[in-house]
Amino acid sequence: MNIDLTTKIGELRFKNPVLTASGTFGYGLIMEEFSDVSLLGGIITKSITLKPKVGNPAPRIVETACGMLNSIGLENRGIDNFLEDILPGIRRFKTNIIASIAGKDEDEYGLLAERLDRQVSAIEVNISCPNVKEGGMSFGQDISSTKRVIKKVRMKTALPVIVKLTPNVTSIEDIAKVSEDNGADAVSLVNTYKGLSIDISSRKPELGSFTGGLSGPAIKPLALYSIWKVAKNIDIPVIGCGGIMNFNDAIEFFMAGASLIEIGSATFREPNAALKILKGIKHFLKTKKIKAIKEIVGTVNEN
Amino acid sequence: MTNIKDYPAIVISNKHIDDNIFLIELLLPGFDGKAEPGQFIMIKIDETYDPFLRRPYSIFECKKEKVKILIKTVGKGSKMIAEKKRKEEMDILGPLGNGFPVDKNNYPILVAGGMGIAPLWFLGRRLTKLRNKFSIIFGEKTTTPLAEEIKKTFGAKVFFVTDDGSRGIKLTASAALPLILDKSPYRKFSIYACGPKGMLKDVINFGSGRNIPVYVSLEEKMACGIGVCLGCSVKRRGTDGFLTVCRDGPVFKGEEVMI
Repeated sequence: MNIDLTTKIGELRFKNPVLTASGTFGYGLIMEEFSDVSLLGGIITKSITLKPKVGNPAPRIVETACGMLNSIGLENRGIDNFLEDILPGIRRFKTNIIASIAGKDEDEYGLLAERLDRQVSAIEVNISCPNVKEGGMSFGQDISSTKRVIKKVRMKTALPVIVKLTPNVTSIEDIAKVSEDNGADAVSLVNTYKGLSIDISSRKPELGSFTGGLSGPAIKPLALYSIWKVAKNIDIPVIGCGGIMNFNDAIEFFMAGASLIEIGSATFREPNAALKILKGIKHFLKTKKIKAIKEIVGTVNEN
Repeated sequence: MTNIKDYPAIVISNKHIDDNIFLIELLLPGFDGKAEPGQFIMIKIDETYDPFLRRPYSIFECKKEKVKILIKTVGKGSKMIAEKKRKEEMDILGPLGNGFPVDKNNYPILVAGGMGIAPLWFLGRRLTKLRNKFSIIFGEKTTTPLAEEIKKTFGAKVFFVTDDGSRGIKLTASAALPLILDKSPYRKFSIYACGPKGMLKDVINFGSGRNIPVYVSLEEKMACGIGVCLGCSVKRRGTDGFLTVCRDGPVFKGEEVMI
């Protein structure tokens, strides 16, 4: 049986719905040593900023029950380095390359989108990083800033625009709706949940920058709920992520309403996690005699 | 072709060295045994998600498919590893990172603080195999059976120091360096160090003062171990950039990093 795993965001075709989440896969170059990157539906790069960014002080990682807090702080070498040194080396991947961008203000998001126009397959607008002082999550927590950033990006590029949403809001479905109304082609959710961990002997936070973002299986039910709420509220595709560890988790996300998924922290445990999950999805569909992934999207039985 | 893989490893033996120190020998089916002293592995403890992350350990010894690691139980993850019995399984990703470079013309001095002996033990074994002469300075707060193991294997090459004088001289490992160097018939040295950050700083300062190359093996909390999470960054000296311990290291030239 031939299973149709393809899906679309705007006019952009994906050969399968498994993407790798920003910040968990580098730019694909290192990961090539561990898995065949070209078999993925797409890779989403580490977030790119206008100027190089050194990131946050150590420790940047702390493990928590069934998950981890991170506070990397968007360490990256900036857009010039990406376009000149990284992109030429990853164009050969036979998969969609989605550039994640993060700006300090809407003009920076606009400039980044302009520089990336026609260079990559799509842009993921990161308005949800909980670990930077300027910009980041503060955009995604406010309806009018979300609107301003998306409008600016939309003006500067014809590429499909994906907006990555933060779950640290009262109603994520409203932010998703604003994204859709202002020209987003898809939304991806959730970015990490803001969290804290304290070392009781020193009374100090366990992360160098005090707080961090929680990811991993610990957040999966929360993420799934957000995706279900958002998918009901908008018509553009939803990319689901948050603690997906195996094909079973993945299928849950599709049933909740995700058209595509992003694999994040799972890659840290298992460099080959995304491809294993893809294999598991195919096997599940085959066993259940379902011909296309689209057939299960948003099919959770609500009666 | 790289030999980095996720090996389904089996515990061959688990030797209890001290209250909280264990030496575990693992069988990595298909591993070609090619690893450099200073390289490390990432251990996936079991299939549950708590602990969620793998644990990095220096390779202590490695011979064909057999790899040894030295474990000190400090938290949940290390305790679970220490409890592994013969025939139990753990996934091992590795060998990862860069090892210690050996300067052929220099006399190697290995400076280990406590559990920092792990990668240096491997280096010592490698140097022995290469018939290179070398010295080890091994420092502890107070002496433990680990010192006994080191003495058994490396004998007179080891210079013991302790904070409380319970074995060897009452001195810090870094303070013992000039004693060794000044008595030595050799003129050109390389220093290889692993241990607490304070000790590493002192060793780096000593090396730069005497123009001796210093190589340090660093530890940092890490998630992926392969260079994509950027969790284990250390400051690169003289720039405002970072290096990753897992991929750029864990062995660095002393002057490269700010610790």
